Amino acid sequence: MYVAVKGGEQAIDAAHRLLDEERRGDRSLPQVTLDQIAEQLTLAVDRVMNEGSLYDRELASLAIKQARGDMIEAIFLIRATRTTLARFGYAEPLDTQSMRVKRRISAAFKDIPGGQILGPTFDYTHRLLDFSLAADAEPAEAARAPSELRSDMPRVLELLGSEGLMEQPSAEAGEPEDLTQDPLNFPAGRDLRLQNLARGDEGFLLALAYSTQRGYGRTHPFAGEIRLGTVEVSFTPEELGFPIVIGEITITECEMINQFKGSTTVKPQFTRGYGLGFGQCERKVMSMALVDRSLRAGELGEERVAPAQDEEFVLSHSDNVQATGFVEHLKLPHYVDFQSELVLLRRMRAEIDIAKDRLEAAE
Amino acid sequence: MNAPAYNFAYLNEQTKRMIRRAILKAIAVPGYQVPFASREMPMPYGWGTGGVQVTAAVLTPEDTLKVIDQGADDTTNAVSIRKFFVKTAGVATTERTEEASVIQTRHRIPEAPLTEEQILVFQVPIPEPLRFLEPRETETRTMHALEEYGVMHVKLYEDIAQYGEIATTYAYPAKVADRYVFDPSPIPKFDNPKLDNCPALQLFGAGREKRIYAVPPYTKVKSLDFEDHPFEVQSWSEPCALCGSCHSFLDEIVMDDKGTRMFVCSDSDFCARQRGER
Amino acid sequence: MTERGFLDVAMQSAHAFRAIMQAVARPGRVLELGSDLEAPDPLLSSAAAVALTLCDFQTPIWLAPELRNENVIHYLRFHAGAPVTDEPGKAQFLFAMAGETWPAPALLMQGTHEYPDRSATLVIQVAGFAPGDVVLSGPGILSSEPFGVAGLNTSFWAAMVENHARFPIGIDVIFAAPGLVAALPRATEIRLLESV
Repeated sequence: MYVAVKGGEQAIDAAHRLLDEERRGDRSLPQVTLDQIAEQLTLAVDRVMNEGSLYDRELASLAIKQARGDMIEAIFLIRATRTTLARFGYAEPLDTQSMRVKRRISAAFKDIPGGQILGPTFDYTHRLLDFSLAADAEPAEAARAPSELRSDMPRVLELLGSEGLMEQPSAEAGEPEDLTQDPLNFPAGRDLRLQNLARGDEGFLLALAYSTQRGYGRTHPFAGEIRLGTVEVSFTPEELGFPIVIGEITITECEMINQFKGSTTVKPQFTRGYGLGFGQCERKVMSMALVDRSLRAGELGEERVAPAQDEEFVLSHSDNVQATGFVEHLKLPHYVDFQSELVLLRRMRAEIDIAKDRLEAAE
Repeated sequence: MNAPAYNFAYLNEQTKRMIRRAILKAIAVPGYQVPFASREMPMPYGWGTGGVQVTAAVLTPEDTLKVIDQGADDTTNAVSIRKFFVKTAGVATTERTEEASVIQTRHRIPEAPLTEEQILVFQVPIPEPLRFLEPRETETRTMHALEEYGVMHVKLYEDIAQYGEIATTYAYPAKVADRYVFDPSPIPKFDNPKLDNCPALQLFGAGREKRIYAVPPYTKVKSLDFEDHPFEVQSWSEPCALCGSCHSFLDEIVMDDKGTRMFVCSDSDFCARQRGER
Repeated sequence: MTERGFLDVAMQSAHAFRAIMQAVARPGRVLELGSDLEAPDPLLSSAAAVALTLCDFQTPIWLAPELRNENVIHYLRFHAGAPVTDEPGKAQFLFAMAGETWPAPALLMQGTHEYPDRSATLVIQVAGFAPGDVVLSGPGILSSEPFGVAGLNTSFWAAMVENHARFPIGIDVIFAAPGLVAALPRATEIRLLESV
C-alpha cells in the first residue's frame, strides 16, 4: 500500500543541521574569524558589499562565512538583511574629486597631473602560485609615498573637457530615482541604469563588456581614469538642515573615454562611460563603464543591434540574486505542471496511433 | 553583533503600506498587473517571495494560515513558508482548507470550494501572459493598454494547426472581467474553472518580476478558447488510488523500475477527507 | 497636543487594512472599521485609520477645505509623514466630506492606459449608509448590491458613472463613516435609482 511521503519538516531540519556541520568542516581546526575574512579576503568582502548593496564589512564577512564562501549566497544574505534595515534618508552625492587616492591610473596619457599611482594591484604580478603564503610567510613592509597623496587630483576627463574634446556629463534634472523604492520601468533613465549595474553581477557585466570589445556594439573605449581611495559620506539630518560627515568609505571609480560623436558641422567630442563601486573592484567598474556607454546607444543616436545595447535585456538579467533564485527554483516540485504535460503528451501520442490504426484498417 | 528583532510578519510597516496600496489598485483594476517595489526576502526569488510579501501584507494575528505547494501541505517549500509565518507572525496554521482564512498556494487551487471568508494568495513566477510571445515589457504593456491580444490567439491557433488542439496545459491564459488577459500562475488548466466567479478574493504576487494582481470575488474569468475548440480540462482514465475520487487532479506516482504507476490526489487534504481520515 | 495615532501600528494597521481591502473587493458592502486611534476634528477616526494605514512620505494627500486645519495637517504629517498638497491633481489620496466641496473626479490622477494604477483614491467622510441611491454590479458582487450614502446627491453618482466609463483608468472611492467603511472602485457598474 502506498503511503504519501510525510515528514518534510523533519527532513528540512536535519538537512540544515548537516549544512551547519559541513560548514564547520574539520572541528580540530580553528574556525575562521570574521576579522580574518574582513582583513584577508578583502576583495570577496568588497564584492559582497557591492552586489549586496550594503556597505558593512562586518556583515559581509559574516555572510561569506555563513555562505561557505559562495559569493552569490553571501550577496543574497546581505540583500535579505538590507530589507529589514530602517531607512533614514539619502546621503549627499559623493565627491570623488576629493578622494584620498590609493591608486590611480590613466591609459590615455603617459603622465597626468598628480601622477600615475600604481597602488595595490594584481597587475604586472606574475601569476605563479606563491608557496611562501602556504607557509604563512609574513610580507616585507612596503614603501609608501613620503607624504599623504593630494586629495584634489584633477580628473583626466576634465583635462580633455577644458579643450571641448569631452562631452559634458549628462545631468538629468531633478532628484535621481531610487531602484529600491520603485520598481524598474522601461525606458529607464541613466540614473536607474547605473544603480542597476552597480548591484549587477560582476560576471554578467564582464561578459557583456567583453562582447562590446569583440564587436557586438563596439564603443572604442580607453580607460581615461581609474581611481581607488577613500571618500567622506555626508548626510543632512532634517532637524539640522546642513550636511555632517558620518563616515568614510573606500570606493573605485572608472571613467571611460569612448567613441567620438559629431558631424561636419558639429565639432566631434569623445563620449563617456561611468562605473563606481564599493571597495576595490576594478574589473566590476570597468565592465560597468563599458556597459553604461553601450546602454547610451539610444541617447547618442546609435542603432541598437547588440545585447549590451539592449536596455531591457541587460537590466532585467543583471541581478544575480534574482537570477539564481529563478534558475534554482527548478529544484522545487513541479509535479502538477509536469503531470499536466504528461497527460497531454500521452493523449496526443495515443490519438496518432488510433488514426494510424484506422488508416491501416481502411487499406 | 546582535541579532535584530523583526516586525510582525517580517516586513517593516512602510513596506507593508506600499504593498497594501498596490493590492488595492490590483483589486480595483481586476487582472491588471500592478508594479510594486518588491523586497528581497529571506527565501530566494522564484521560491514564493511574491506570495510571501502579499500574505505578510494581508495577515492579521487572528488568521489561520494554510500553505500548499503542488496541492500538498507537506511539500518542502510549503513547510518552509509555513514555518516562516509561524515564526514571524505567530499565526495559527492548518492543513484543512475549510479552516483556513488565508491560503498561500503554489501551482494549485484547493479542490474544496472556497468561501467569502477566505483569501487565496498565489505565488507567481512569470506574471505576464504575453511574455513568451513578446519578451519586451514595453511591448506587452502597450498590448494590454490597447487590449490587443491578437498574438495570444495566434499562438493558441498555431497549436491547433500543429497538434490538433491547444497544447497549453498549465498557466493557461484567461480573460478577467472581459478586459485583461492574465496568467493564473502555473496551476493546471484543470483549476482554471475554479478561478471563475469564486467567492474568495484571489491575490497574485510575483516577487522577482515585481508585480501584484488580483481577481476580486465573484469575477468572471474566462479561459481563452475558440468556438470550434472550446476550453476543456484534463481527465484521468482511473480514479485516485487512495480515495477513489474521480473529479480531482491526480499526481502520478512511479512505484517501481518496471514502470508501475498509480494515481493519487495532488490535494492531500482533500484526499484525506475523502478517505474519512478526518 | 497631537491626538494619538495607532497604539500598536503593526496590529491596528493590519486590522484596518483587512477591512479596507474587503470593502474594495466587495463594492457596496458596509464593513466594520474599528480603530483605537484618536483623530482631530473634523476628521473621523475611521478616515484617520485609512490615512494611517495607507499613506506615508510617498503619497501626497489633499484635504478638502472643510477638513483642512492646522491640527489635521499636523496629525497627518506627524503620524503618517505624508506631504499635504494644495493641488488635487497631484494627490494620491484625497480626503473630503459628503455634501461639501470636492474636486471633480475627472480632475484627479486617473492613471494612464499603460499604468492605470497611477491613480488617485478619494476618501469621503460620510454620516452613514442607506441603500436606495444606486444598484451596484460588476467584479466583487455576486449579482447586484443595493447601495446608498447619506448626503451624496445625483451629481456625485453621475460623476461616478462617468468614472466607471473611463475604465481601466479612473479613481477609486472609499467611504468612511463612524466605525464603518465601504468602497466604490472604478470597475463597479452603477445604476441610479429613480428616487435619487
